[in-house]
Amino acid sequence: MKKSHLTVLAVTLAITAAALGLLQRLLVPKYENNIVEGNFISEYYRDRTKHDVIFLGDSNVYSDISTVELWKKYGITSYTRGSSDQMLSQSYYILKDTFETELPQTVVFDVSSMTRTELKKDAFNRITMDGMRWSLNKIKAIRAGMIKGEHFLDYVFPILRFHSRWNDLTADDFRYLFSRPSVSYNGYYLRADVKTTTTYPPDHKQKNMTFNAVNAEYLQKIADLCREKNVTLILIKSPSRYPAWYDEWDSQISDFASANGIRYFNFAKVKDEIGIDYETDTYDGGLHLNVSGAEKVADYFGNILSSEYGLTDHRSDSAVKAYWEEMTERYESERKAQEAEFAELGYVSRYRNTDTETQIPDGSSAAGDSR
Amino acid sequence: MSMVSSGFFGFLFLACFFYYLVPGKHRWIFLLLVSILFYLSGGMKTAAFLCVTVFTTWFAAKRVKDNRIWFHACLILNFGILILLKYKTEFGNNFLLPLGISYYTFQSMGYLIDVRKGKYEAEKNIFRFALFVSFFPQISMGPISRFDKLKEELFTPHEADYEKLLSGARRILRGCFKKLIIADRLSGAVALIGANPEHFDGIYVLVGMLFYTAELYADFTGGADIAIGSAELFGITLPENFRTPFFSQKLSKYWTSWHITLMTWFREYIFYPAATCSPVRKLSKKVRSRFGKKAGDRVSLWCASILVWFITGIWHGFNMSCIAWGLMNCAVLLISHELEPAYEAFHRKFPVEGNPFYSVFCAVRTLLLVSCLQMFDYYKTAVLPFRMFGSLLFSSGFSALFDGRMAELNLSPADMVLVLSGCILMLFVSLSERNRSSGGSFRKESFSMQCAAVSALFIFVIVFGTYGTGYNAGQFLYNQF
Repeated sequence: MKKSHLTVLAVTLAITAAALGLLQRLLVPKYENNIVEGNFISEYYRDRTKHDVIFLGDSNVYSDISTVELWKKYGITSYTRGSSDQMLSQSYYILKDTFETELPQTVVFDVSSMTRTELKKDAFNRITMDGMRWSLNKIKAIRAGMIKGEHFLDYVFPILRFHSRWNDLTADDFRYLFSRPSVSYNGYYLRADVKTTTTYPPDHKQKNMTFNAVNAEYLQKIADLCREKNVTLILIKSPSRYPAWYDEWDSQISDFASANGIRYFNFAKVKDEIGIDYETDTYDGGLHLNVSGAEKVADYFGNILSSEYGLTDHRSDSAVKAYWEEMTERYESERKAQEAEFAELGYVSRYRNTDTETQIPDGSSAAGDSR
Repeated sequence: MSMVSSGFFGFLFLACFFYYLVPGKHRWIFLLLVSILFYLSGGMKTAAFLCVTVFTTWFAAKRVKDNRIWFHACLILNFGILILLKYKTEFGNNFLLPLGISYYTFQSMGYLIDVRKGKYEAEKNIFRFALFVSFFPQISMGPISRFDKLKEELFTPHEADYEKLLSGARRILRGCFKKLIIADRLSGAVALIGANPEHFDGIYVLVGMLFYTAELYADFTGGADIAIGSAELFGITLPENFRTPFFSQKLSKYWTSWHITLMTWFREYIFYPAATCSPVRKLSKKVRSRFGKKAGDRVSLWCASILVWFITGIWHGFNMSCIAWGLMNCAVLLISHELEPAYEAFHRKFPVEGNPFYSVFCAVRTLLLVSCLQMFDYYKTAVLPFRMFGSLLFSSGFSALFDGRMAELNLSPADMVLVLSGCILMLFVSLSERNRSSGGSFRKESFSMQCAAVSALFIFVIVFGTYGTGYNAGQFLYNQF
């Protein structure tokens, strides 16, 4: 082969790779409006500060505890590494990934996801996995969580999954082609709207109430990993009104916690003590809490973390304070904007269609399910 | 393993990479190993049938020159297996249909008949014969090759030739373009219209007919491109299976440029033997003595044609619609043949041959004729196509395209534009390659142009192809045979 041909070949390969790279950037969902939770996992890597608390779990954990309120009231630095329908295996590998960056004093894991045995749509996998940085942990997390019809290669080259969005591109896809502003507040999902529901889906108790063996295995792995790293693990159950959290499940978690020397807090049992009012503290009829409810939970839990776990109040640390003051300002500003919009329109336009629309093709509404 | 799956392309890349690392004289052994691996990836159980065909054909071929029993026994056994498995529903068995059973059976039996006729010597080495039968790029949907031609390609050590590698890659991508951008994009709408004839009547019959024709062409030729391109990566040239069939001026020309190797097989191994067999010769003699020479000569042509098209119909499916499709093609061809003197007289009086407008008219006429005949296969019954043509002629006109039913076809305006652009592109590529081998024009391009074409095709297929989650990329239609 002639040298000139080799040069042409190399240039062609470089141009093809660059063009596909650019197209991939264009075609992947941006999650900047509407389904913003799609950006939560990746935003963690932008935050260079250390955290005393890392929250893990599904949508309940990123909706129900305000990280900013924890800072404001107790000076606790925290980050929520939760994502929609996060599977136990994913929580475990995200925790391992986190430990490669930092070792927090405490890891708080929401056990709501223990009842989830499989994902019905790949959209949830994508929301969790696409944001994770590449490492052996990500590879293992993908392999552990892939559902039927998914291919590992689609994660390596997301364009293979999202190429069909060429027909659904929006202005956002061009606007956020090269940079995506943060949409979470240290992993917290701020919603200031209110949606009260008086009727709830019927309970559907299963014949076998024992947790799935795979989930139980990963919960044990999470506990073992924290023990190995000398990090305190706390289990919580978020105070959602539904889906139902049965006594059989609660006792299994209590037993697990006792056997492993871990504390477990079921916030649903103390919702009155926390002060949660499902008339005003939820944005989706009791499934998740809005900012009013999330601050109440943060107030309650922050007190426990400070008084019983002795977490440091960082409010006098100027370097940390600067970061959190900026975060608080953004949080308050967004909260006010949402409250004003809700007061005027009765909804927050950015989230109005999250139950029906999606940025992921194939009708896989990332927001339509329980998250 | 689908030939448009990432698994296949990964497999192909690795096979090609290691092929050129193996010493030249052992490369065919490597090809045999990867072909076995490819076949086994489709299931261990069905591979047993391929083994039976390979062994019995190789064994019988060495003896058929002076032993008719081995010849007939081998034919009966292998065609018996094909019929039993292909028409399993009719025979009530539950065997899985082995990948490419039609193609490898036809190819093996063609070899057996050629050896029996003394066209070439039987292959002594069973492994070399096994590679001829199982060569993985062609086993699932052809082309059907002849041993004397393919053996030179398979067993000659090929050195890595970057032009052939690039040409092969481009051919594969062209196949992917046809399959993933055009055929699979249309398949949903085609299936919907065909399955709901009461709802999609009138002008939608024409829409379904044209969509189905475009889907079939893109699917079949796309598959052939991938097979031929894959072989080219190993330096192996397979016979062309399609040669611009829709430029044919008449139906008989169309059938010599559509699925060429299969139609050639039918002609060589069914038509000619049937036309010259003893019963047909006797019948021809009787007719000649009673009705004259012309009528006598027609007997062999008519008998052999009807048999070939009956078998072609049954090969497509053991049902009345496929048999009707085959026999309708036969009827049109025979009537055209009988009217040949009338055409010639007409053309003597009105010399329009050679006029480009007349050529376009004839090509469009062939396209419409083929599309109409395909309606028997499309609607899966022998009677419904007639009713649907009635509906097309007498129901509402073009305005029905805007009554909302078009939106039910799951084809967005952007999809339509893409399909139309793709079809126009196919037309231009076909025009530029007319009367030339597919690779011929390509080799004249500069190296940088070749690279640019491969790059552009690759990007197009990645972005606009119908594949991945959310799509059920259909199998190649010819895979089903």
